[in-house]
Amino acid sequence: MTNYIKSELYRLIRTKGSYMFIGICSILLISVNVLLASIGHSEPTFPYDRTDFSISFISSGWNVLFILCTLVASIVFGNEYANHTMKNSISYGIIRGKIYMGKFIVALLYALLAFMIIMGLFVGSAYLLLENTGMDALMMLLKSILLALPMLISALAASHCFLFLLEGTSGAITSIMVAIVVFPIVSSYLGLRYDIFQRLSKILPFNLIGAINYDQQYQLVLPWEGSAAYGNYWMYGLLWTVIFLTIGYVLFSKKEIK
Amino acid sequence: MRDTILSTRNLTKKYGNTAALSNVSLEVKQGDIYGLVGKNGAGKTTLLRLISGQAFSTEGEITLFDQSSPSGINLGRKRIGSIIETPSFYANLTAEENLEYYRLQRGIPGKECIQDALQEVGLADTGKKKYKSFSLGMKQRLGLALALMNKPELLLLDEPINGLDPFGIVEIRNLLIRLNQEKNITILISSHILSELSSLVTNYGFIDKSKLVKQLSAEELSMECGRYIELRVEPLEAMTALLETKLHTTNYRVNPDYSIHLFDYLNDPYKVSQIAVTNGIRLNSITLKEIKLEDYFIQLVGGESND
Repeated sequence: MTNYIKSELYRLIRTKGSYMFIGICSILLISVNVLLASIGHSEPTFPYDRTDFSISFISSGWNVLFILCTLVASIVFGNEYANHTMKNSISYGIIRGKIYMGKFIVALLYALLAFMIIMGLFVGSAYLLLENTGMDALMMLLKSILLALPMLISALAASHCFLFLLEGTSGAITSIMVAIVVFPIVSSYLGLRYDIFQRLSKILPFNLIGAINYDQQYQLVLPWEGSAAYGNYWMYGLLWTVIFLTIGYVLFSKKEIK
Repeated sequence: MRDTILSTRNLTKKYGNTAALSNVSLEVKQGDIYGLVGKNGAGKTTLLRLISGQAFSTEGEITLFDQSSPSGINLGRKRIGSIIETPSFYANLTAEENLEYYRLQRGIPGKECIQDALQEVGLADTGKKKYKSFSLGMKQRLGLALALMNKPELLLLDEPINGLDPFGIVEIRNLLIRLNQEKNITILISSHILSELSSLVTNYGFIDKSKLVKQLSAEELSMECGRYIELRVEPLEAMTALLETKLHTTNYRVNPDYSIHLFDYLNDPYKVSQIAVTNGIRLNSITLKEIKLEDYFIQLVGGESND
């Protein structure tokens, strides 16, 4: 598997899209801080040019990052089916499990790297450009990252699964959106009427990541109290990751490659 | 006795109720250049896809380098180089980058294999040109370079000269002959044009409507095709005796329609007729005939247009 991972990293380093994704996300987030700072400069009574406001703004926006996981998986997948490149690996006898897991590991590594760069630039620019209001919001951000991380990994696994199973990228992305975004939302509504959907919707990653909230003292407000929250977030995150990876692998191992 | 490198036994592939390949049994021995000939859609690519692991057979067995278990076959695939259907690479990488990607993936030590392979197919000076800007011929050559990079013992080539200009065809044909003769690489090559393979292959397999309809060696095919003298004589046995005793040839065939096809004396049919007449044979007709490769192929597979 090491060889496969090495080759995928080699390709990823030479793919413009991998730099563009990090660049565009970083610019968008930094521009939030630039905008807040410039308004603060021109309007002295403006109350939001503060690090706590900017950072808390991100802490409540994990759903967006959850959706972006699809883009990360798609960049790493590299349009294998449209390019018909996977047959070169299969016909050399590279085991499908190595291809499947190798790509997932690379997607995970790239996602973590992108996340650290984007977050680092965002937090750094906040402290550089805005009024420093202390570390409370940053601590809350770090805690929420710990909770969001397993959900983001599960979103990556789901995206990975569909990209391997469906030939067209647009069809795969639509299916991913239905599975990881639309279905949890619909489940929540159905949960108002049916008990089973109510229970299911509470453990779906999109709903769990959306349930990461905070109060005015920058304390996290979660579906579970104390450390049980972290345990449950990781347990459900890993559970969905394993489910998606297993379904994807089983079906991919039977899939004919063109 | 040469080793069998690849064999299939009753290999069948069905999509629903439609058979893409039916009970195909073939044997490729070490050093062979085995030409798989058939119309488009006959099942050539399906067979190659089954051997390369891209598709799964419905029935039958593949034996590759004496291994027939799934894991053994998979190991055997590391000794194969292949181009199945069109060559496919990453559009935004150069020829060298694409090969480096697969070199890393395959764990081939040393980067010199990349230059060697590119040199071999005449792509050593493509520089920073991306794959997306390659001509069809260049793409075919890069596909061949990838197939050669791991120094394979068996090449699976699915219509590898598609898209090449006449010079390119000759170059690739010569390269394949050289690889076969100098490096003892066994080749399984498919084409829908029999004449493309005629100066290359040692054995033929004709595939039609998912079935392997005939296998024969290049020598046998040259007996079936090419120029010959058709003799219609009486008595038949006396004439064959004359051919052997007076003309010293056994290079003839007696056909079910009581004609004789003589493959010698093509430039001197007069001598044949003279021997017949002077020895009291009734010579009804003597005709110089020719069966072209393509005619033979069309006769064999029914002559319907390519689908």
